[in-house]
Amino acid sequence: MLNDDMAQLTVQPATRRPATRASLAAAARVTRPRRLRSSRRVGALLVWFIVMLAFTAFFVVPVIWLLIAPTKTDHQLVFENPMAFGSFHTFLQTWDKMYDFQAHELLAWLENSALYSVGGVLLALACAVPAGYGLALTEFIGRKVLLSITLLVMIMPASALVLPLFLEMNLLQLENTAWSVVLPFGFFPFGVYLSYIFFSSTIPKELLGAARVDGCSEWGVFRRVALPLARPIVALVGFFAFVSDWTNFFLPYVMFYNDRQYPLPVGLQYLIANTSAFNPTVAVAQSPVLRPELAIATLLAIAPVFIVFLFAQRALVTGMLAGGTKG
Amino acid sequence: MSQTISLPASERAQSRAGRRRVGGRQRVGGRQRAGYTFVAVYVLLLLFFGFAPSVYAIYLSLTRAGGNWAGLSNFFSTGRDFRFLPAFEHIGTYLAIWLVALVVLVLFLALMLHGGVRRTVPYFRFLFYMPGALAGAASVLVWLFMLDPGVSPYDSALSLLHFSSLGQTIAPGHLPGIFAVIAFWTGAGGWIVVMNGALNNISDEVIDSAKIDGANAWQLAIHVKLPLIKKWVVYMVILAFAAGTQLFVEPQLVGEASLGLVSNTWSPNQLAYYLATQNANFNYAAAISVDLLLVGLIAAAILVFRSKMFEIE
Amino acid sequence: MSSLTTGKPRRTLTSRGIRTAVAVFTAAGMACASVAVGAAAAAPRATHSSAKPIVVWVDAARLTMVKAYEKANPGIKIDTVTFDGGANGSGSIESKVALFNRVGHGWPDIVFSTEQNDVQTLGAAPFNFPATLNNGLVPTSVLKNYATGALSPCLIGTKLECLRNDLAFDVLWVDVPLMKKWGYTVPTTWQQWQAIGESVAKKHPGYIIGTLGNSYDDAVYLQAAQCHMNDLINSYTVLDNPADPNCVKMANLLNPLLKDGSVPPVNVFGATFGKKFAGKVLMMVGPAWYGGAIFNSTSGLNSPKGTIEAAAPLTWAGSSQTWTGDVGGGLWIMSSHTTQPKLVAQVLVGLATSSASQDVSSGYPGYVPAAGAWIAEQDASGYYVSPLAPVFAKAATEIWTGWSQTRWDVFGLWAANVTPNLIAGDTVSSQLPVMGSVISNYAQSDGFQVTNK
Repeated sequence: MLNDDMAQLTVQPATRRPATRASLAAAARVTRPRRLRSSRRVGALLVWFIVMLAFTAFFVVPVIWLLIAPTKTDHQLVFENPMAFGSFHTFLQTWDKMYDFQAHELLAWLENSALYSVGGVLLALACAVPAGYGLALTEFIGRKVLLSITLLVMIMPASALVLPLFLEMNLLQLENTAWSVVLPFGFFPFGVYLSYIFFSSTIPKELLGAARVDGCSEWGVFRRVALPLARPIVALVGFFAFVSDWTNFFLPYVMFYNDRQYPLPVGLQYLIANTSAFNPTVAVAQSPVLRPELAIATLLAIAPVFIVFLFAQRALVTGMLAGGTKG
Repeated sequence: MSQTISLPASERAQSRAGRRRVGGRQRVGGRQRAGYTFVAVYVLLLLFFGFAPSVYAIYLSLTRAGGNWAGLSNFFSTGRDFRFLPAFEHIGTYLAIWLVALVVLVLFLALMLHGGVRRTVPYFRFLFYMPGALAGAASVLVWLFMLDPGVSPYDSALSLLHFSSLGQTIAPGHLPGIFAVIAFWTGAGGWIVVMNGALNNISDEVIDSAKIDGANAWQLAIHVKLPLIKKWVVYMVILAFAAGTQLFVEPQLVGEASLGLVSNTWSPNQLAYYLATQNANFNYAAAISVDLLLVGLIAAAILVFRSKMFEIE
Repeated sequence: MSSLTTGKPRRTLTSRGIRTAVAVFTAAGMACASVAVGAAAAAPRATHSSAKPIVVWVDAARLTMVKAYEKANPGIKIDTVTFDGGANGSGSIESKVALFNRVGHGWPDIVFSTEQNDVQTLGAAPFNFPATLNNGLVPTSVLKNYATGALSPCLIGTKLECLRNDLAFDVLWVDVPLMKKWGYTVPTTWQQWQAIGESVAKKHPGYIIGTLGNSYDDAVYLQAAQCHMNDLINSYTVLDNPADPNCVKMANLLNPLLKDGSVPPVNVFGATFGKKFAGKVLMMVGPAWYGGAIFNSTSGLNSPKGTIEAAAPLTWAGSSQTWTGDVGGGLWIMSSHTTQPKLVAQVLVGLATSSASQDVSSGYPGYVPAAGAWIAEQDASGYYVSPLAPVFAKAATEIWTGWSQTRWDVFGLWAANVTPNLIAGDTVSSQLPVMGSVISNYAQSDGFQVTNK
């Protein structure tokens, strides 16, 4: 870019200015013909938008399909254009059927999901943020061992941990209770690593040194220096913990015996097994759950993730991670 | 890579002096103890819900059903299972496609977002992330329709590939590619969020000075931004590799959506699950899980040590 | 890398504020959790003085049956839990039983499974879950009233370990007006059926007389031909002979139909089946429940009233006996760990045989005395051209029992290993050895011996 500007400079009548870098750049911006610069910019911008929109279409089209699905009947879902909107009336009917299903079981699942996830997120945050800080910015024996074990446990296939976790919960006599999922949810090594990487890349040691000089205890340093800067990582870890807990299937599937205690992912799986399109043995029983009903249950299951994401986004705004307020 | 230091020189000198004044050893010891308190609750949970179960799983892989020692015989038995090798072949192909696509495209999109129109970032980030909410059972219905040319919005794309039925779309040879597409669709958004956050961490001064030095957008991305987020990238590659070798959800859900056209032991993790649930053979299942763990650990170890990820800078 | 703060704390959320908020939310969260825990732990159990409530696990489709039974028997307290029924080989019953076995408690008293072969798995080590029913728990008078062969999926050796809920024998479904329009007579043999198929492929392409894209097609066609590919000849040996002349002859019969498109490799539950084939199904060989599931269903073919008729299952020309396949039918299983065996057995029998429960059953009852009432109600709707009752009653006696239920799920194996190849264009004959070797592998890995004689 700058080279072109310089080329332009030789053609235009030169203005006599000292040739510092900053001034050259400034000169380039002033002297370069507007038409050329903006057309290149527009071209690049256009390409950028096209590429972004293409990827957006890839990611979003199935979700839009899902959003539209409950507005159609099962018949319309198959016979009409996939992206055609049905009717609001059908949407209400679909919702009614799903809501009434088995004495408002959907609502029970929603409540359970909320309970387990909120509990899990709070516990995970309380653990992961200080732990990441400690791993990143204090030195203690066993630090690297802890990091390695954390990584090891993250790589261990989750299905292998199901039986031991079940046995543990049974020992604690917590199986079939909310604690049996909330406590393991609090263990969030992914968040610890995010926190570790964040703190090790963001906080300069000199700042910590300054705080320590002022007579702060280590926890004081954490509270006064790190925590104010940690809002983005709290949002990031909290968000990922929430999504991980909200969408977790295996743990609740194993821990709960009663369908009334399922969270939404397990409930959804149960619904699929009771939809004639997926399970021929149900077909005859004329289950009220057809594909549009399944779609609306799915939408209910995923909506909170979007809502939480929108809230978390505010803390992930550009520039906030680059430090605190400036005055 | 060192951090930008903006403390005025006088303050720097003061802090150094301060450290010497108070007494180095006492300070360091206190900091050590404090370090333990920071990680205390986490270590407790780690031991109970991470380490102990992992050790138990490894113990299961080395013993028989009654608790008797089995040595490596579980590993040999599962290794000889007729489904074992095909499952690992499937995963190999899948990983080759998916890992490369994920890392390249996630970094590409994150850099595009960071270097593009800043005001649109929250919107694109949200839209890219949307599929991430459809984990597991939530996406079965979606993919039942997306992959079936008769009812899919992607009908034109599928007919370009000469697929005229669901069965053709998910023919055995296409499966690694299909799963890669689905896994990317679900997983890319989350990693884009993380990488975007990492890129936001780079100070504007660094970027501006690079621009003044004459870097164009491409050079800025490759030579300035990428090296600065190296730790995050390594983290992503480690986890993506492990997640790829442990593929479970995608073959399971396409199998469900297609009413059984994909074997429920297509991937090694599925085979482990099958052995645990259908045969109640937790020992065999643990052996396969340990195989997958070792593969993931070796990759992680290589990456961690080569990138010095554990060092404090 | 990052620019420094100037040290001024933020105006918005102070660190103290964050801590307070976290503390409050944690406390609230824990309070809520403990309430939930308390509620879960103190779940209102029936305070019936003489018996604990009986825990029954069913899927959504069978819930009405349990409710109907409860209504007819108010003195018995039942605790109903709904789950996926083990559908599509999910193994949910097996995985839960395995976990309960490990800790020594938690088993339900009664479980309903949609998988015909679940008892074979659950009845073997290490599960050892079902209670044996034919040693006095269930009166012989009840067992004698089951249709022949209805209880065979429940047998492990000579021990009966479950009660059959419904039967799913295959019949020949026919589009009567269409057959009349083109001048075809309803076939009684497989060969006649094949001839019509070849004629249809030439004269009316696009119309079908059957399908080959579902997981249970092996039962529909091979079981009807008495093909010995999955025949338990004793408790540790399976007869697996893909070269059995019965298997070969059926495969040869199907090859040209698969090729010419009159029996395409499509799944009748696929999203596009109704779209592509509504009004184009001249005939269909399929289970009894196709009536309500495919034909009389808006998600399926949505055939108009008075179009569809169930004809007798096809016979092999020259054979004196008709045999047909069996696709589905659920199992009522009783736990061997229950503390109230007599009461639970009574409930089990009630659910499987009483009119209260069977009248709202989802399928043709395996218990003969209940079947009459059930089929009469189906016929009362007048949807079918002629009553189903006589055809069904006879077909129920013609299920070939040489096709055994085994620990490995032959439907799942067919769908995963054979159907994709049929879709890709392979012949049915070429897939017999494929299926044979898959069955052999699974059988051996489950500890069985495989023989082909």
